[in-house]
Amino acid sequence: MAIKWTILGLLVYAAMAAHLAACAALAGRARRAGWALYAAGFVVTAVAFGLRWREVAHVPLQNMFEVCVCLGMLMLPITLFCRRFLGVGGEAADAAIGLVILLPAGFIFKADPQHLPPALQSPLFIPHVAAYMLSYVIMAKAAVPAALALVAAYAPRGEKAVVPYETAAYRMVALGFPLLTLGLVLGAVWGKIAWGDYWNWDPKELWSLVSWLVYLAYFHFRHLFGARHRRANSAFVIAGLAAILITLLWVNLARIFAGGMHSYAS
Amino acid sequence: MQRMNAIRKIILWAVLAAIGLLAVLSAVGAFLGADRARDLFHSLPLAVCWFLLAALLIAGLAAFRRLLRSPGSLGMHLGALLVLAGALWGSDEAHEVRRAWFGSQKVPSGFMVIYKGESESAVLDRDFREVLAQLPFSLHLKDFRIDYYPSPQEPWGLGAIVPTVDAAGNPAERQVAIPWTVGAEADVPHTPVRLRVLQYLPSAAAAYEAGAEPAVAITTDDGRRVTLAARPGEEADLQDPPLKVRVVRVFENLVVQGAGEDRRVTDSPGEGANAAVEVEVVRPDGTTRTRYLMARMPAHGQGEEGVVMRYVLPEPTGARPDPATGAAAMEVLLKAGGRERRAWLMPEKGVPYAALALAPVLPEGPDAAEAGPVLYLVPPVRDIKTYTSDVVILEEGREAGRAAIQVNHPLHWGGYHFRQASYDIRGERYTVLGVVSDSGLAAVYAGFLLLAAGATWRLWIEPAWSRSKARGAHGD
Repeated sequence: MAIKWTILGLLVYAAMAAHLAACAALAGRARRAGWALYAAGFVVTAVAFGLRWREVAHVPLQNMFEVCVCLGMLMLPITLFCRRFLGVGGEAADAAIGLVILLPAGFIFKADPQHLPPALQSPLFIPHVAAYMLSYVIMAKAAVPAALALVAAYAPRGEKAVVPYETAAYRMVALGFPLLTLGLVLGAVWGKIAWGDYWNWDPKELWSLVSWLVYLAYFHFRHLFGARHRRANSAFVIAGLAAILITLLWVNLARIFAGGMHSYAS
Repeated sequence: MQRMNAIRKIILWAVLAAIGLLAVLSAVGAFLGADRARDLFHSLPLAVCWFLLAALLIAGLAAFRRLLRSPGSLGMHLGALLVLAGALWGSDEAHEVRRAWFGSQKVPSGFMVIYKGESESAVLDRDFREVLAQLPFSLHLKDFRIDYYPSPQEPWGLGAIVPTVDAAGNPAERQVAIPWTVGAEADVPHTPVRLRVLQYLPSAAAAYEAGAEPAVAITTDDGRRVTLAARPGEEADLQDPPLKVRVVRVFENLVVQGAGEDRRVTDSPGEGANAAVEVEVVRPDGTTRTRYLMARMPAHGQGEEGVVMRYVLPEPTGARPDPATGAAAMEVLLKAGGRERRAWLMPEKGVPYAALALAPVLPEGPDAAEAGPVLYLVPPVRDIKTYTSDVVILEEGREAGRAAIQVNHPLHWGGYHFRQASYDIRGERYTVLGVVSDSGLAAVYAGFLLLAAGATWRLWIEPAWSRSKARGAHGD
């Protein structure tokens, strides 16, 4: 763990502080202040992302530091979209997720700028990674109502979430799954172009397949039983997020396990 | 109806079991690594599972009418089926079956190693040893090049390789980096040598004494020396022995390919450091012999009785700034055991780094161990931007097409994809192309499209449409 005494690092810390304060304010019913802090956190993260883009002269999605900053930046837009179009609340939890996502960017992953290696110089780089980033944030958000559904069916009185937890989790997964599918498919097409085959049995590919399959099983299970088994449904959604985390962090865990072709993303 | 529902339930449970199995095996495969995972998923029991999965998908489409009515669900299931079918059709095993039963010559994958200026049609295995197939066309490598990102404005690095012995007593080497600044002294680790950097030129060329030029030095048996300027057309009549020596051609970097009558001699400047000269020796009976004298291999090219000929390059006296070269030079003062020596570290033509033997200043003297410590001046590491293989496709000896193959720009020709896989890291003399059959690929891509479009339709468009209709029904 190392403190980053750079402008970029300080922006990440400022964004983390804003997300932490936003989480506390939103959970403590100081909603107006909470939203303002959450928005401030988004703006600071977006500035950090923009600065990084200018520094490296390509879309900064090459390594885990850049990916975490991007994921943190996506949190607020997704919160707003879900509240507006899906009736899914949980902004305090979303701000907390934003904080958790930014933490490794601030303290764990190196921020050294890198040139884009030949394999990443593809028009598929941005859509492939963007589809995955969006789906990951959405699935992380889905795991919160899923976890809450393990203990209760509905939000306590006064909470403005407008749908039951199980339904909220389903709507989030339904939003994220096409993006997860698109990320997988675009990755396969890109793999064919750059590495010669659309499926190379690379560990990161296999973990991405595992996460896709878990959500696929969730849809089939829910088709079979509907919302009757809300705890089992929730277990699928939480297991899916666990698989996503392993996929995302595999190249870092790969120092312990088998390596792979995605090692430039460490 | 009840029976149909029971069948549907069985199918759904079977699908859940199949998805669970595939997920578990994928997780196991991730721990095994790509090669072993590939073997696992291509094993016979798994091949049976793939067919069962395809059968389940067909059973699902037959049993669930709703799947046929929902374009999204139908697209996803048909997409999965197409991906499976395409993958099976393009598998190594399917290629093998088509080869055995239908005489197909297509191989699933392999590699091509093609030297610059040469043509190749052989597809090799991953060790480049066994020829898997001969393509009905060939690829001619016109050029292979590497483009780098702009070089960082850092000075070159100084280091040394010092011979040592490992724990088992076997000869080994230690590589050490030497931090340096101009004017400062530094130790060469693991040696008694100290050095001071006197000058550093970030872009330099060798400087020579006025009038110095390459020469052919001829020594006769009786010790007489004749020097001939290494310029085409220069000639010397030795008289004793009665031979005439004539300079025919000067090479910056001599490359010899083939042997005997197929031998080809070319000059490839910039790709190596084999400076050489071609001389013609005329005997008293009028017969001639051609000799190639190489500056760095003085023993090569001899064989003429009565004379020893060498190609001698002038020794540089130092370096001068030259912005065109991009190669650094460093003057150092070496000190050890009372000995001192000033020397320049400067890359030779065609060599990307500079090397300087430390033996002359060691207490043991210049005749110290053959493999003594060596000082190196190396350029900063540059990141590779692209690899490019410029190839010409030849069908029956005629040009049928051209392509610049790069990592994200493979060539598609004759049922194969050719991708930039590797290259000769020592001299960029050849390229390695990965060759992959395109069998089944159209089905797989169609499946991908249906999967992605189906998921989007089923989970985004259909619910949005339903909500919109519901709002309309409620008069919102």
